[in-house]
Amino acid sequence: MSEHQPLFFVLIAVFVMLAVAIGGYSLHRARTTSHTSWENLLTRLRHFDRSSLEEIALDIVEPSGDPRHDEASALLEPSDIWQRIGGWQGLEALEQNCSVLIDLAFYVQQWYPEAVSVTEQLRLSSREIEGHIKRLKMAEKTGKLDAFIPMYAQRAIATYYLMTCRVLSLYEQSNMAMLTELQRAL
Amino acid sequence: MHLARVDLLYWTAGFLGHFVLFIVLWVRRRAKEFPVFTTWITANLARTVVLFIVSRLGGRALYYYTYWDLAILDTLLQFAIVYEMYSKIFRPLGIWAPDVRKAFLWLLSSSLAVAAAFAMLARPHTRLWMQAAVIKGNLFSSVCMTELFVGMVALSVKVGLPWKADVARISQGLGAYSLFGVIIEAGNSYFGLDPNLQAYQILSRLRMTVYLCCLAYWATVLSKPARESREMSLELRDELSKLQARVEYDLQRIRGRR
Repeated sequence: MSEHQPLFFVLIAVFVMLAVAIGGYSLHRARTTSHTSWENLLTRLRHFDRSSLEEIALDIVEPSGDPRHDEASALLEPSDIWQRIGGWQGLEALEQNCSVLIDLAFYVQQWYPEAVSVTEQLRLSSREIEGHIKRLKMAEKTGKLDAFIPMYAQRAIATYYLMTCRVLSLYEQSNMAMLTELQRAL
Repeated sequence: MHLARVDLLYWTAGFLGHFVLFIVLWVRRRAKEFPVFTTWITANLARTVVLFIVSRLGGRALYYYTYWDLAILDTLLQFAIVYEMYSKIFRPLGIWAPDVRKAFLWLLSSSLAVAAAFAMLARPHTRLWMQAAVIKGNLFSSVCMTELFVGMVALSVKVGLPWKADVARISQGLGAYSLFGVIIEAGNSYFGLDPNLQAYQILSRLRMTVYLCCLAYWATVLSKPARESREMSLELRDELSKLQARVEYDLQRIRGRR
């Protein structure tokens, strides 16, 4: 064994342990999301007061998803938006729910592979929400949270609200038997 | 060339394992969905037969060259499978997901760098430089494949891309085999190649045992019937396409709003 060998084997051991740890953890997370039962999916959904969500979202977008530019739009105060969504806790719950919405669309995709486009668009929306929340956290650090609530929090909530509408619509169009249960959970 | 009874046993088990998996892939219609994986299994099935014939009819030199030529093909096909799995996960709409492209470049370059570092650090004791090169080459490909598989799972979880069950099964098997390959090659580097190749043979049989377990795993899980897709009515297809346009539109509207 040459002098390089002890270092080599220590590095190999570290590599193997890291691979097992990262791979095992990620696989576990992938399994709990992609290959879970319908009941598990619903239990992962955090409940929101849909009327509050709707009110915040419809303050800046039409029910169809079009942006509102009329005089009666964007009237909600930042403190009001923040209170209705439940502050940071509410936003974190919303972020968690995004991954469940993707899994709900993926669930339909198992039978209707064409639904992949909806799943992918929901995933991109979810990434966008992640970005908004990250920017809000940065704004809080600089003491400018209030100024950025309409810009990021309200947009994140509106995106999430539209995501829920698209998932419900997907279930409705696919004639999935679970629609009523889903409506109740969302 | 003389073969020990245990080697013949491994040979037979390898042939049967590949043959069963080959049949499973075609009967369960997975061959069309995973063409590269199927090609790899077919190539390995052919390799088992070719090497057996060469070992019986050809000399040591012919066997040696045939073995290593086919081993290179095997490694190339394994990397092609990694590509196939990546494209199944990260190209849901036929193009690479826009938010993972940078991460890919980083993952690929770091995997190559780490694998190259390990290959350089390895100092196997061998008589010929070529034997050392083979051990280092195997270590390089095992480390690289392991990183790519672990990176694939970690990245897909991070960006929220769901996995299809069959992609997960094939990737898990190949990922576990690659990780075990790292340990085997580290062992080869430690023991080197003694004149009677005893340690090398034991480690090779250990690798073969793990590979046979992977074959059995794939044959079992892939033999289960795939979930039948439901026939989509024209009306539903139309609705879905409207829904997709709607979702895209929502995104653009909200992004555009200040």
